[in-house]
Formats: sequence, C-alpha cells, structure tokens
Amino acid sequence: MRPPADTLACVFRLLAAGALCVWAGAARAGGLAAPDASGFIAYDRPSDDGSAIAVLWPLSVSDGPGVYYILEIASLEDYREGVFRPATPKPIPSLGSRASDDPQYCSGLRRPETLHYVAVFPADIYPPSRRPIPPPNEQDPEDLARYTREAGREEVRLKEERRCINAQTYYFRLAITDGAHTVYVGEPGAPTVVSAAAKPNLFKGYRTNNLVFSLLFCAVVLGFIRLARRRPHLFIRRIPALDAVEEAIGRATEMGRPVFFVHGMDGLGSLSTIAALTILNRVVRRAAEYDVRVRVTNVDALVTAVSQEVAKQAYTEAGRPDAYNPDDISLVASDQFSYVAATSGLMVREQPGSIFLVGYFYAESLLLAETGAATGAIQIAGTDSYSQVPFLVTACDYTLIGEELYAASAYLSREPLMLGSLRGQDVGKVFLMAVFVLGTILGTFGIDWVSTLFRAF
Amino acid sequence: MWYKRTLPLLVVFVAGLVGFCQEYVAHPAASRLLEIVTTWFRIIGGFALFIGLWSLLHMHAGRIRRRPPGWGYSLFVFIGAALMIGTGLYNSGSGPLAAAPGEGSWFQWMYTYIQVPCGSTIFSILAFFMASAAYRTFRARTLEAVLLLLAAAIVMFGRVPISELVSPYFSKVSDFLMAYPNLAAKRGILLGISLGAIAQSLRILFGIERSYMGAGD
Amino acid sequence: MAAAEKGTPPTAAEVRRLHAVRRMIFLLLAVAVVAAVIVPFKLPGKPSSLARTVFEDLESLPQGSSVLLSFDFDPTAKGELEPMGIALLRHCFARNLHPVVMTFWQSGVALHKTMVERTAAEYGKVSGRDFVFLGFKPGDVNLILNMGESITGAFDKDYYGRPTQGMPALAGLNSLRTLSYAVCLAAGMTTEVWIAYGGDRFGFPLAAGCTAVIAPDLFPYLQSGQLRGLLGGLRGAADYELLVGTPGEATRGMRPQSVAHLFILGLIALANAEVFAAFLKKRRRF
Repeated sequence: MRPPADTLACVFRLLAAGALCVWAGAARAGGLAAPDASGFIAYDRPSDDGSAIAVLWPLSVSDGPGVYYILEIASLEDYREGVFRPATPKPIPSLGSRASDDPQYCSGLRRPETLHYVAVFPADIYPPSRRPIPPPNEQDPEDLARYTREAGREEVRLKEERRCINAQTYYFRLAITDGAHTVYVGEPGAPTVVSAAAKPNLFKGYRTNNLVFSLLFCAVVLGFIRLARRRPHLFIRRIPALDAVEEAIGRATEMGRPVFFVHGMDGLGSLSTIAALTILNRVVRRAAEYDVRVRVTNVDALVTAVSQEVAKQAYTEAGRPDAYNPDDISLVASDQFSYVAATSGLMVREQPGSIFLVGYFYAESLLLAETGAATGAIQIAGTDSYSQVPFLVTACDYTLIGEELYAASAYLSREPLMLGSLRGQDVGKVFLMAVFVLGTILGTFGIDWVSTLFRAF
Repeated sequence: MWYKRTLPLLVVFVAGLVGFCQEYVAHPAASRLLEIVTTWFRIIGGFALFIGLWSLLHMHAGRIRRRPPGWGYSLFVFIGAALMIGTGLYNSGSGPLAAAPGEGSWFQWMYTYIQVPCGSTIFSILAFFMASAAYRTFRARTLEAVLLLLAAAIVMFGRVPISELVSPYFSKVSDFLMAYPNLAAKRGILLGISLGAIAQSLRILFGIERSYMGAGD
Repeated sequence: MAAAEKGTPPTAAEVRRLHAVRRMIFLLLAVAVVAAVIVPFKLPGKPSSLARTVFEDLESLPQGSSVLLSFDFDPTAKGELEPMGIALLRHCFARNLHPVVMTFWQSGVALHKTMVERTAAEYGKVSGRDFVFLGFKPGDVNLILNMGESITGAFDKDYYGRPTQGMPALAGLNSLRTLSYAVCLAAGMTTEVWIAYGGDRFGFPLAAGCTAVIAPDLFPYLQSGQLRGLLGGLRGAADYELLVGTPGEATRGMRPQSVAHLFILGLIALANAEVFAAFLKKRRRF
C-alpha cells in the first residue's frame, strides 16, 4: 500500500497536468486547433490557363459541423499595408472542399482526401475597372457602330487586364473559425503567410489519358490502313442498307420516277453530312447510268454548293454531263420545319420511287419518313442521331445506324485503304469492350483503377 | 493541279491537326485561336447564305418559267421572300443599318404571327404521323418486335398521369426502361459512332476520304 | 406498308387502303384531342423525383440568391418549354429569388421577354431590382466562358439597354463562380454546352428542362451528377406547376396528352389484333 503523502503528490501532479491542459486548450481559443502550418501551401494550379492559384492545407482535429475556414488574400500592395480580404465568397465548410473532390487538378497529390483544397481566381477578387461607354442611340447607325467598336475594344482590354491581374503574386493566410472564435494558422500573433502566382500552362495534364488513347487508336487505324495496302481483300460484313442502294435506284428506274436524296439538318462540319455526300456521289453516278433524275434537297447553303459539285462530278464520271441540272440540287429552306414542309410537298407532288434520308436529323425525321412511306417509295435512311434512329427504323425500309453511315464510303468503294480503317476501328471497339468487362468485374469488387484510367475531364 | 487537289488537302490536314492539338493545350492562346476560328466560321457561313438564296430563287424562277404542275407554289416563295426582305430592310423607316427590327415592326409581326404558327403547325403534325406510323409498323411478327411493342406500350402509358389510376408502377417501370436498357443501347450506339467518327476524321485528315471536295473518289 | 414486302412496290389497292386508314386515324386523333381539351376531367398528380429535386433545390436557396435561367428555345418549342419557364419564374418570384434570364436563341427573345414581363407583373416584380432580362448575345461557348470571368463584362447592359453594372438584382453575382443555381431550358443541345463549359468548369449546380424527345439524351448527365434534376417535356412542366402550386398550360395539356397516348396504344392493340386474326386464319387453313 502506498504511503498517503505519495498519493497526495500523485493527485496534485494529475491536477496540475489537467489545469495545464485546460489552460493550453483555452489558449487555442475555445478548443479550436488550426491545421499544421507546414502543410499550408499555395501554388500555381497546374494544367490551366493561368487564371487560378491552388491553396492546400491539411485537415484539422477541429474539423466538424459548424466549423469553417476563412482564406484571405492580399495583393503585393495590400500585403505591404497588412490588408487582407476574403479569397472566397463564403467561408469554406471544414467538412467539404477536399482535394479528392477535384480530381481534375488534384489527381497528382498523395492522399488528396486528407487535404483541403480551394482554387482562388485573383481576377474575381481584384477585378479590373470597367471604363463606362456612353450607351448608343439605337436609331443612329453610326452611333451603334461606335458603341459596338468601343464595347469590343473594352472587352479585349478587360481580358488582357484580367490576365495581368492573374499573373501577379498574391499572399494568403488561413484561419479556422466556429463563429465565436477564430484561430489563424501559424504562431499566435504571427499568422503564416504563403504566396504564389498563377501562370498559364501549356498542356492539360488531366487529359493525358485521353491523348494516349487517342494516339493509340490513331496508330491502330493507320496501321491497318497500311496493312490493307498489302492485303487488299479485307472481309467486311454485309450492310443490307448499302446493298439496297442499287435496288432502290433500280426500282425508281422501273417505275419511271425520280430518286430523292434528303440531307439532314447539320452543315458541312458534321461527319454525317460528309458521309452523306459520299453516298450521294454513288447514288447520282448509278442514277445517271440508268437515266433517272435525282432530286437533292438541302437546308444548308454550303452543303447545297458542295452537293452540286458532287453531283456534277458524278454525272461527268458516268459520262452524262448533260444530265446535270443545278436546279435539281437546291436549297429548299433554311429553317427546320420550312424544310420539312418543302420536302414533304415535293415528295407528295413528284412521287419518287426511292428516297434516301441521310444525315443528322432532329424532330423532322418522322415527318419526312412517314410522308415518304405514304408515297410508296422505298426508303433508305442513315443517321448518327441516336435519338431519331427509332423513328427512322420504324418508318423506313433500311436504316444505317451510326457508324454504318460512316462506313458507307468504304463499303461502297471497297477501297483497301478505307476498309483498313474500318478494321482498325473494329479493333478499337474490341479493346473497349474488353475494358468494359474487366472494369465492371473489378469495379464490382471495389477495384476502380480501370475507371480512373479512363476518367474524362 | 496542285491547288485543286493538294492545297485543299494540306489545308484540311493542318487545320485538323491544329484543332486536335488545341484540345490538349491549356494556354489561353489556344482558346483565343478557337474564338477567332469560330468567328470566321460564322462570317463565312453568313456569306454562304447568299449562295443558298440564289439557289432557291433560281430554282423557283425556273419552275415559274416552265409551268410544271404545282408551279403556283413557287410564286409564294418570291412573295414571301420579297415581303420579309423588304420589311426587314425598311425596318419601320430606320433602314437596314439601324438596330434589328424589334417589336411592333411589320417584320416581327409577320415572323410572330405567320412564320412561327406555320412552324408549330408542321411540328404538331408529328403527333398524327406518330399515330399512323405506330399503327402501320408496331406489329408483333417477331420476338424483337414483341419486346419493342411491350416496352413502347409501358413507356407510353407510364409517361401520362392517367397511369397512376391503374398502378403507380407503370411510371416507375417506364423510368427504369428509359434510364437503363434504353440508355445502355444508346451508349453502345454512341460508342460505335464515336469510334467511327475518329476513323472517319482520320480518313479526311489524311486525304483518303475526299467526297467533301466534290471530287468523288 | 403492312402487306408489302421490302423492296416490292405496293399495289394501287394497298396505297388507297393505306391512305384511307391514315385519314381515319388522323381524324379520330384530332377529335379525341379536341374533346380532351374541351371536356375537363381530373388527372392524378404525382410529380417525378427529378422535378422534385429541382423544386427542392430552389426551395433551399436563401432569399435574394441569383438563379440563372437560360431559355434556349424558340417559339416552335413553346408548347413544352414555355410553361416550364413560367413555372420556374413563378417559383423564383414567390421565393424572392432573383432570376437572371438569358438566351442563346435569338429567334426566341420576343417570346422570353413576354414570359418574363407577364410573370413579373403577376408578382409585382421590377426589372433591375428583382430580376434581370439579359436577352440574347451570340457566342455560345465563348459567352459562357466570358460569363465565368464576369457577368457584367459579358452582358454590359440588359435587354432594355440599362447598364448591368451595379444592378441590385445582380448584387453578389460577379461571375458564374458565385452563381447559386442555374436551369437551362433547351430545345436543342445547349444543355450539353452548359454542362461542359458552365457547371463542370465553374462548379455551380445545374438543372435542365427539355423537350420530351431529347430528355433521354440527358439521362447520363443525371447519373453522373452533372445535372441536378431534369424537367422532361410537357409532363415535366406539369410536375413543376404542381409543385409550385400554380397549375397552368402544362397541367391542362396533360389531358390531351393522356388521351393521345391512350389512342395510340389502342391503335397498336388494334393493329396487332389484325395480325393475330390473320395468324389464326392461316392456322385454320392448315
């Protein structure tokens, strides 16, 4: 049994230690503990256009409901005067704003879930001053022109000023608060201040996986194109819609009726329009040989011009340049439903023997297809608009879905180089299917490196 | 001739390569370039409208001259174009260089009370055409057709509030069909489209596909 | 053609029969839809969870928050999207939120202006103080990126020609980064542009409304969390009107829509009855 004096001394030591803890806790302002200052850093946010500075700091033991962080920023001038302002519109909740929430810019960090992260945009906090421009008199064209010029110049000036503002060095300090008490990161009375400047970066690092897979796929396609030079007879499966092109033109010839070729709504920048032009070339060439009239309706002026060139060339190649009539390949309207009305009217009056609906369609697909069906024509459709595929499949005799439309040029020409690209595309598809299966199986067991590898930003 | 064949292919290759690289460059110069290219594309597209207008009016003028059946409709093209262009240029007396025709102008009136209702009328025909297409084609002749039919029936019924009177499960099953099997099929098609688009783009970039030049093979 | 095989031209009799059937279908559908519009009957109302999410998001915003409404449609999509837009505006005005309305579709500006002014008048709201109508500006992606740097920089004046700088309705809304919420009502693919260059880039919560036909295209964005909620077609508009408590055109439109759907289902049943009858007849013959 311990002597009573030793027991008392022990109790006294315990009480003293407890008091010391209480005092130390009181010195941390109501129990709030600021994060470790050595982990509080600011740096140029990587892979961006130089508009943001990234600020990181570790978690704190005080993080919890009702606890927020206040990040403060100062320009060089303000820093010299000791003036800081809030870097974010609202205080940052301590239970959010983790680096793991922004994988686009934080994927390179070790254990991002243990770090707080905020992207600060200096030009939002120190916005450039806008020069007022006198509003124009809208009935005076010269005044309107003056206003447009000055407003445009002002926008350019402001954009340049924002870039200069973003490029300067800024100083940051951080505090943790529960509303009643605020504790700054660093020594009491001497908060830690970190600085950084934003710089535009050259490469979007978060798209590295995208670039690698794109280049790999391109290499595979180009490789097969090269291979096709040596092995020209590559197998390609039957595409009934493309096999039916000849049949459709033949039927129109038998019935003594024209062939209609209806372009989709998109312009020349759309791949489906380019694919449609390939099919148009084939259709016109075959129709010229059978002495059948081809009527092409367009909704875009550039597509009209190119379609006319394609048709003219096709008639010339078929030895029938005299059969080319530019009025048969015309712009019928430039508005969606005006196009539908005009094309439907033409179909009902001219009663075509076959109709090709090729391109990107919107709501007008069923209107055109159903009108065509009512005329009794054989209809071949091709679109990469997946929301309209069901309507065209329902109403048309044959439909090219998505990539089958893109394959039309290779299928119809049977050129080895084009067939090679189709083979490369198929290899890419097989690879992706394997990745899906593997990723799904691994993901089911919580192993998600496959989905991380293919993450897109 | 090199300027008819080689030069356009070179332009396509360089422009395509620049567009490809622009996707991976973070520097603001890349987005500035994209802005400039987009602006020029819009300007060129504006001029192309004249080509289209000429094509339209030339075709209809030919029809009026030849007087085939239905040539009277071609007169309406000229009347409509003349009215809209005329009132747009007149611009309530301000002329073509002032601000665009606003409310109260004849141009705006014709657009709001003639063109827009006509467009809506054509759009509304879609409902009738859907009914006739459904009657004509939704027939259970094969297993796939039966599945399509069942799915279509459930989704159509589940989409309207009246299905709640029969069972609340119709809307739930309808949402499930749209969100899972339908979306899975769409994603499959979209995947094929995306890969096909890359392959097609490569063919265009390297000059293997030249149909857009009007040159055929 | 039901009886014709692929590739075989239909006979004259088949063509006449098809035309007669089509005309009968069109007539019956027109009569059914008109009757549903004229004869009122009640339909059960249970809003979808997607509409409810958008509603609850706006309900949770503090009063005075700015809500960006991008009305990207023209009068051809008025039937489905105008009621949606009006319901959203009514919700914003009822909760004293500040709607900031803009559009990428020049052809729809007059329609959007009417929607905003009429709804604002119902609640006694004043332009500039309680809401802002920015109108149309070209630029698509570039405009969104400019708005991401500065709203007043991208739109230096509102539709009525008043400077946006210092407008009370835009107080606290420096750029898209400080936006509380955005809803894009689109008849085309503008929502995807807002997702890629707006919500993903600047981190504001984004919801969408669209015509029924393109609603399935936006489901992947719901599943990935890039869209908070979705109002699809007239049904979505009716759901939102129900949640806000202001039944309007969309709610009234549910009657003819329900009747039309039932009519088409009936047609499908009739068509398959014909197929079944033909099948039985064929079997009996053998």
